[in-house]
Formats: sequence, structure tokens, C-alpha cells
Amino acid sequence: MEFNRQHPIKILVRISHFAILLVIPLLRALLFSGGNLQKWISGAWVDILVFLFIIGAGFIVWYFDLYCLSKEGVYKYNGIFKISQTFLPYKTISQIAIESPWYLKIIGGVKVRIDSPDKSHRKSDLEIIIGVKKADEFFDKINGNINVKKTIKGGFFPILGLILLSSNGLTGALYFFTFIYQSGNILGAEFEKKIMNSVTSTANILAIGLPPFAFIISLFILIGWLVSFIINAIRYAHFSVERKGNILYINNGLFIDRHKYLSSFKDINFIEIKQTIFTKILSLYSVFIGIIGYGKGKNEKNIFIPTFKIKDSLKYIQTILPEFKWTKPDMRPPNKFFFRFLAIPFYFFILIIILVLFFYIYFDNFRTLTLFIGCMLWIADAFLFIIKIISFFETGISLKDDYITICYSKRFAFYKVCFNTEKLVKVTIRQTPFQNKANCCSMIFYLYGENSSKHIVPNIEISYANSFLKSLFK
Amino acid sequence: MEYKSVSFKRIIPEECLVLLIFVGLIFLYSLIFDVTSSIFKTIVFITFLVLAFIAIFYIPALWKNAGYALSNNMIYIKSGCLFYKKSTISIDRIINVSVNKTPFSPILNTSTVIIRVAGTSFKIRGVLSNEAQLLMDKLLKDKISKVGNQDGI
Repeated sequence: MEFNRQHPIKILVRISHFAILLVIPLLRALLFSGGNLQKWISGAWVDILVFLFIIGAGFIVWYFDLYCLSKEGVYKYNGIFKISQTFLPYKTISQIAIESPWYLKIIGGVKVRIDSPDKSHRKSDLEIIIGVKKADEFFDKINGNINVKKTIKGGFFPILGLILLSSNGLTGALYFFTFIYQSGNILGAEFEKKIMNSVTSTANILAIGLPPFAFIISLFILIGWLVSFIINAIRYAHFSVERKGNILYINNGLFIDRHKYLSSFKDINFIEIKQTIFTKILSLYSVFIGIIGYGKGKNEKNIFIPTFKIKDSLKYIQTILPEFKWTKPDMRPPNKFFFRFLAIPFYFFILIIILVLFFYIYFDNFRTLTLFIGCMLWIADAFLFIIKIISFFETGISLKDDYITICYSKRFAFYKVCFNTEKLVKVTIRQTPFQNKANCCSMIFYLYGENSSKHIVPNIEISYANSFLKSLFK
Repeated sequence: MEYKSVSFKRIIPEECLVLLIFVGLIFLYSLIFDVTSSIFKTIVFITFLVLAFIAIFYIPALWKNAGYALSNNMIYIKSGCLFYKKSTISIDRIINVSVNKTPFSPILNTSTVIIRVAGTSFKIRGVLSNEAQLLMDKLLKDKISKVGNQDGI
């Protein structure tokens, strides 16, 4: 068995978290010393020694970190004092992801993430950085010679739709906060103060007729959304899905951050169609796929088909995965349960009124802010009302040829999920005291996967639910 | 479907916990309020009423509603009192089963059976220890024999 070492860049990747905090002060010291090496070394010799020690330690760990692509599977051997040996047979591999971030691309390396149904749902089972040629060899070993292939390429507008939908203001705002905080850490508190001052002054200039506090929150969310949009644009550009025999390939990313995923058909746990109120008006579908390993990277989503028109999306699903039988729900909540769907937005509505009245009466100084936040919450609640009304007409379950289709809504989105009965690990019938009186229940479907993938179909008649379970597990 | 109920002894640790919470809360209140004040007495009284309700009605009701049933290829589990739950799972999908014991187990002779399937797990609390072992063996019987066949053992 021939063991290989990972790409030497792994040393830098491994030590980057510690080293970055030392490199910047060292470079700053070099800059202030005016290029005089002697002066620099005499001033920062402790930092330089620590930095060299970190690089040395990184090298030793890299030297003893070995892997081997054998005929049966992947071996990984690492550790100096505590040696660990891992073997992952090809048969148990659910997914292989190949990532080419810009720093690896310029030196001809790729990051390979290998996943099996075992282990954590946040971390991959094996993660190695190797050369492009080695990665191709790895792909070939699993791929074999399959000629029949079906491909879907995400065009400009579908990708744009997907990016617009998947960009989250809060995630981006979190990035923006981290950026300010980290820049403060590295470049000094003065720089952090400058950014914060410019944000506050912009808010003061632009906030016409709005409380500045509310405007700052909106500004942060807007900037955050823009940051998130750019990150997603880099990630999902050139998205394509390809099927060769029983192997599914998903490619995405711009040249600075390429990703390539490979999975077997048998490891597909479910397909999920997600719609928001806006995509519903525009008749668009975004399709996601449940495969162990796919979508668990940092800021990664398990996208299968970007945002296309409903007709095209369904056509593409049929082209790539014709095995999945989508059906209209035949087990639906009866009409008498209509008001049950509206209960949550109705309670929210009452709660908002109480809170707004309380703050308006007892906090004189915050009346404008209270009304502003109250209005925003009412708008969100009105959306929820509309979603729940539509949801009543769409919620349901159906079973055809061992494939179950379930439709439901969760928060502000509509979901349609299709899966094989083999992938169903647990079904729970849940009844609240109110549901108990009305003879209805919620059916919770738990699907196979590393993390809990549960889908709740609310307000189904209990007798229907029991008969469905009987037909399912007969 | 006839469900097998779990041991009544399972409520003992839960009742003890409620008693402990009550003592702990009184101690906490005594640090915040004056022991002779009417606020202290009112809060203690309300806490007593709530915890007494939990101890007398809720915990026994939880025990009464808990149970499990086994068929050839399925296991059914029911639980909950206010929020009633009935779960169904195919035995084929079970990855592993563990029997957990607490310091109370040797005294009460009860254990918790945890059944794990990919992506989720569920617990049956208060199963008699010997029954827990039998249940574990039954659930894993097929899997053990399958491994044996593959390895030629």
C-alpha cells in the first residue's frame, strides 16, 4: 500500500488560525522599521521565534499525516504521539466534495471532503488537501466508465433568482459585524472606531423621518444582505447538475471558489421544493436535495436545481431523477380545520397589540420606535396569515409506488418533499390538547440522514393518519 | 395494538426531583425576599400549588400514557400527556440500541432504553431492567445474525 502526504499547503492551512495573529504585527513592525532587518529582528525576535515554532510544529504534523487510495477504500493515518488510523470503504461513501478555493487553485491543489452516514453532521468524515491529478484519480476510482449522461445547467436568471432567495440579511450582517470586530483586533481599535463612526454618521444623514436606531438596524441588515449576496454569487455561479448512471455530480462556484460534489443515487434521501410567497407569485421553484454530506460545509446549501419556472423545474427533476414519483396530496386536512391553520398568526396578532400598547403607554420616549417595530411585526404577521391560508389548500400527504410526497408550510415558506419509504426512519403522530378534542393531529416524518431531518404536516384527521400508517407499514 | 406499560417505579425519581426543585426554590426565594414578608409566603404558596399539581397529576399521567409495543418488524412508542405522541419505527432502520442506568436503577430495577436510527433517536424511560435487556436483544437480533452471515461466523 502506497501512502502519500497531503499537499504542503496543508501546513499553512493548519497554522493559519494561529499564525495570522502574529504575521500582521510582524509585517507592521517590519514596515515601521523602514526595512532595516537588524532593527526588526532585535525588536520582534520573540514573535519571530514563536512564528517559526508554529511553522515547525505545522510541518511535523503534516509529515505524519498520510493517506492512501487503495482498491477497497481510503486510508488515513495521522498523529505523532496519539496515532489514529481511519479506513473508509468506497461502498460506504455517500458523497465526495471537491473544493477549489482561490488559494489552492493557484498552487494546483484541491480540498477533498469525504462523507459517510456515520459521524457528525457538521464535520466531514475525512478531509484532505491533494493535487488536482490525485483528485481526478480518486474520482475515476469511484466513477468507472459510464457514458450515459444527463446535464442541467443553471442559466443566468435561475442562478440570480437562487442567489436573491438564498441571501440572508442576518447572516451577512453577522459577517459584517465579524469583519468590524476582527479588523479592530488586527488593525487596532482606531480603525474599528472609524468604521462605526462612518456608519452612525451615514445613518444620521439618511434617516429622514425614521428613528436613527431603527435606521441603523435597517442599514446593517441591508449591508449584511449585500455581503451575503456577493458571497452567494461567488458560490453558486456556474451551477450545474449531471447524472451519469447512478452517480450524481453537482458543480458550482466561480474560478476563485470552485466546488464539485459526487454522490450515488442510492444515497439520495429526499428532494425538497421550497417556495416563498414571492416565488409563488412568480411561479418559481427552488429545489433542494438531501444527501449525506452535501450542504454541510460553511455557508453551503443543499441546492439541486436553482430557481426555475415550475414547469422547467419539474421537467429537470424528471430528467435527472425520474425514479422520484411526485403526486398531488390525497390525504388533506378537512375544511373544518381551516381556522386551525390561522391560529398561530392570530395569536401573534393579539400578542403584538398587547406589546405595542404596553410599550406605547409606559415608555413615552420610545413611542415612535414602538410604532415602527409594531408596524414591521404586523406586516410580517399579515404575510404569515396569507401563507397559512394558502398552506391550508396545499397541505397534505400522498403515497405512490413506495414514494411519499408531503406538502406543508414552515414559518414563511412552503415545502413539497418527496422521498422513498425506505428513507423514512420514524413517523410520529403528535396531538396537542386542542388537537385531541378536534380529533386531528400533526404527522412528523423523520428522514434518514446525519442530522435530524423532520417534516411536520399539521392538522391531519387522526383516523386518516392511522390508516396511512397502516398502509405504509403493512 | 396492545401497548406494554412501563414500570410505575419510574415516577419515583421524577417525584424526588420535583421535591428537590421545591426545596431549592424556597432556598432561592429566601435569599431574594424577606422570609417573614407576605410576598415570600404568596410565592411559596403558588410554587407549592404548581409543583403539587405536577407531582400529583402530571407525572402519574405521563407514566400512564407511556408505553411500547412490538410487532414482527415494527416498534410503536407512545408518550406525553398534554402533548400526546405516538411514534412508529421499522426495526430494520435501527442503528443501535442502548440501555442506560442511573444511580436509582439498582434500587428501582428500572432502565432507560435509547433506540437510535439515522438522524433521530427516542427514549423509553422506566422499563424494568430485565425487560430492557430483552427488548434490546429482540431489536438487535436480526442485525446480529446478519453480520454473522456476512462474516461467515
